[in-house]
Amino acid sequence: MTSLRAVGGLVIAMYSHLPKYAAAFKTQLQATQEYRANWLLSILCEGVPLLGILLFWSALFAADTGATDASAAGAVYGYSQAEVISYYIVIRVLNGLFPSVWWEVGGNIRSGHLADFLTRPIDYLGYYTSLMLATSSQYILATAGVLAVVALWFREYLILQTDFLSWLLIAVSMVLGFALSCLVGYLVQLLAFWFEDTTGVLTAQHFLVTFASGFYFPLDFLPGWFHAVLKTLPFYYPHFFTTQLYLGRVNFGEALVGIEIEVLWVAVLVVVVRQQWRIGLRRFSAVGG
Amino acid sequence: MSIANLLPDEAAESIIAVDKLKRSYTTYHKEPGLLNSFKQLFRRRHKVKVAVDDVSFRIRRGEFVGLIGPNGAGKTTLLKVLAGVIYPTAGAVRVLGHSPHLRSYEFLRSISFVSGQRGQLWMELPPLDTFHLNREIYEIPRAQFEERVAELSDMLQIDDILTVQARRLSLGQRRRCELALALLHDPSVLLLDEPTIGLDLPTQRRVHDFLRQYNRHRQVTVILTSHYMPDIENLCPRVLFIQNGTIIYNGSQSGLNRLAATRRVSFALSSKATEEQTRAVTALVRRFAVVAEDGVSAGEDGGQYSLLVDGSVVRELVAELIAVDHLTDLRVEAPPLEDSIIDLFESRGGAGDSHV
Repeated sequence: MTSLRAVGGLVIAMYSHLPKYAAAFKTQLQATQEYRANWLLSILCEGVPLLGILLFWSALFAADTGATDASAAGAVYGYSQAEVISYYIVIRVLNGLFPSVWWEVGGNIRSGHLADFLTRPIDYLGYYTSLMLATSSQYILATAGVLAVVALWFREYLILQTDFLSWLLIAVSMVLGFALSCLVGYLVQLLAFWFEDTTGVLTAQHFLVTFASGFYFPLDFLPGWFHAVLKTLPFYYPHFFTTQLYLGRVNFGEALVGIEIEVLWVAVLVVVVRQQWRIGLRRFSAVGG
Repeated sequence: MSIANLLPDEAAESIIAVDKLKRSYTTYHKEPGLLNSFKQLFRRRHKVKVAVDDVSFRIRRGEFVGLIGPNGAGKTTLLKVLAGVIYPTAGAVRVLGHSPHLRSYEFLRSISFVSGQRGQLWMELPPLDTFHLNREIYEIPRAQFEERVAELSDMLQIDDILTVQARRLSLGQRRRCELALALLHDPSVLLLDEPTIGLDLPTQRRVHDFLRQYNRHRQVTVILTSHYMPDIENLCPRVLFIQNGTIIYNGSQSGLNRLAATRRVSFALSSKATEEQTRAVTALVRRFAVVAEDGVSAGEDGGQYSLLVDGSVVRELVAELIAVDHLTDLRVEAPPLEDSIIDLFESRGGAGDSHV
C-alpha cells in the first residue's frame, strides 16, 4: 500500500511539473546533437558487433545442418535460427534503450556538484530520468539506419511480431523495463552518499545486468534451476522478458505473471530508492567549492 | 559582540535567522602504509569533525553580507546550509520563513545559489538554451522571461554571446552568463560562493559593479563567501568572520578594518616604581587604549598591564613607555583572535586566482 502510494505520488508530482521534465528532455536531446562523431561511433559500436554475432550464429546453424537455407536449419535449445537471429537484434535494441551504468549521478554526489541541482525547484532523479529518456531517443535516432541495414541483411530470418495484444504487452513491459533500469541504476549510484568509491559495485552491477538480462545468450540456454533464479531478479525483465514477448515464446498467462513481477519490482525499488535518497541527503556534505 | 547591539531594530525584518547552528561530519582516518590499509578494512577510526559550531546571526532584507575566513573555516558549509543543500546537525535556520533543508519549491524559487567553481550552463549549448531550461524549471512566464533576459544581458553585457556555444566562451563571459542565469527568476536571496574566483581584474571589477548595482536596484539580499579581500571591500558593508566553525567577528567592514590594525601592548611595572610613575603609566594607558566592543581593552593586574592600541600610535606609545623607569617585559603583538584577519588583509592585492 505504501509503495502504491509512493508510485502514485511520484507520478502525480512528475505529471504536474511535466513541462520542466519535457524541457530537460529537449535540452539533453539538443546537447547530444552537438556531437556528430557519436553517430559514427554508434554505427561502429552497435552495427559491427551485432553483425559479428549474427554471422557467428549463422555459421553455427550452417555447420549443424550442412545447409544454409532457413527451412532446413535445425534448432538450438529450442530456438530456431530465425528466433536466434531475431533474439540478438531485439535484445541489442533494448540494451541500447535501457541504460545500465550511470556514472554521472554518483559522480555528482561525490564531487558535490549535486548541490547545484538541489537548489533548483526540480526533482533531481526525475530530471535525470528525463535526460536518460532523451539518451534513449538519441540511440534510436542514431542507430535506426545501421539496424535497418542489419535487419535487411538477415531479412529471411527476421521474425516480425504482428499480434496486437503481444505489442500491447511489449509496450507495457518496455515502459516498466525502462523504469526498472533507471531504478537499479539509481540504487547503485546513490550508494555514493555512503561510500567514497563504488567502482566495485558498479562493475558488478554492469556484469550482472548484462549477463542476467540475456545480452550474451538466451537465458533459457541455462540449466532450469539457474533460469528460475534469474527469473526472480529485476534484471531479467527489461531485456530478456520483453524479447520473449516479442518472439511469442511465452503464453498469455506467463506474460501476465511476468508483468506482475515487473510491477512489483518497480514498486519495491521506488520505495527503496526514495528512502535511500531521503537518508542520503541527510548525510550529503556537498564537498568542494 | 552580539549583533543585537549593532542593529537594534532588525529582528523584526530579518529574512535570514540562524540560531545556534551546528553541522558536523563523520570522517575516518588512516595511518599511512599498506598494513594500516588492511587494518582499516576491519576497523575504521571514525572522527567527528565540526564544520560549523554554535553559529547565530540575523540578516535583513537588502543587506550585502560577506562571509570570510581562512580555508576550511566553515563558510561554504554555512552558505550551503542556507541554500538547503546540506542538513543542519542542530540549531534552527530560517530563510524567508522557510526551513531551507526541506527544499520546498516555493523556497527554491525565491533563492539562487551560484558557485564560482562550478556552473549550471550546458557546455554543449549556447547560454540562451540553458536560460530557456531554467524558464521551465522556475516556471517563469514568457513575457517576464524576455524582459529579464533583456535587462540582465544589458547589465552584464552578454547580448552578443548568448547564442554562442558555452564551451567556446571565456571564463569571464561564462561567469557573467552564470550570474544572469541565476537571476532570471528574480530571487529574493542570492547566495554566492567565491563568485570571482579565477577571474582577471577587469572582469572582477565588472562583476563587482554589477552585483553592487543589482543589490541596490532590486533590494535583493546577497551573501557572498570569499577569501579574496577586494570582493569584501568593494561589496560588503557587513562582514561575518568565521574561523574554526565559529563567528569571531560580526559587524561592519570598517570595524573589521580597525580591528585588523590594532595591536596588544603589554608590560610589567615593578613594585619599586614610585606612585608618580604609576600615575604616569595609568595616564598613558588611558590616553592610548582603544575602546573595544567588549569594553575590556585595557587592564592592570598586580603590575601587569595589557591594552589594545590603534596601529598608528603604537610607535608613539612605545617611545613614552621606554622612558619610564622600572618598566619591563614590554611587548607588542597582534591580538591572537585577529591574527587571521590580519593575514587576510595582508594577502589582499593578489590576483583572484592566487588561491585556486
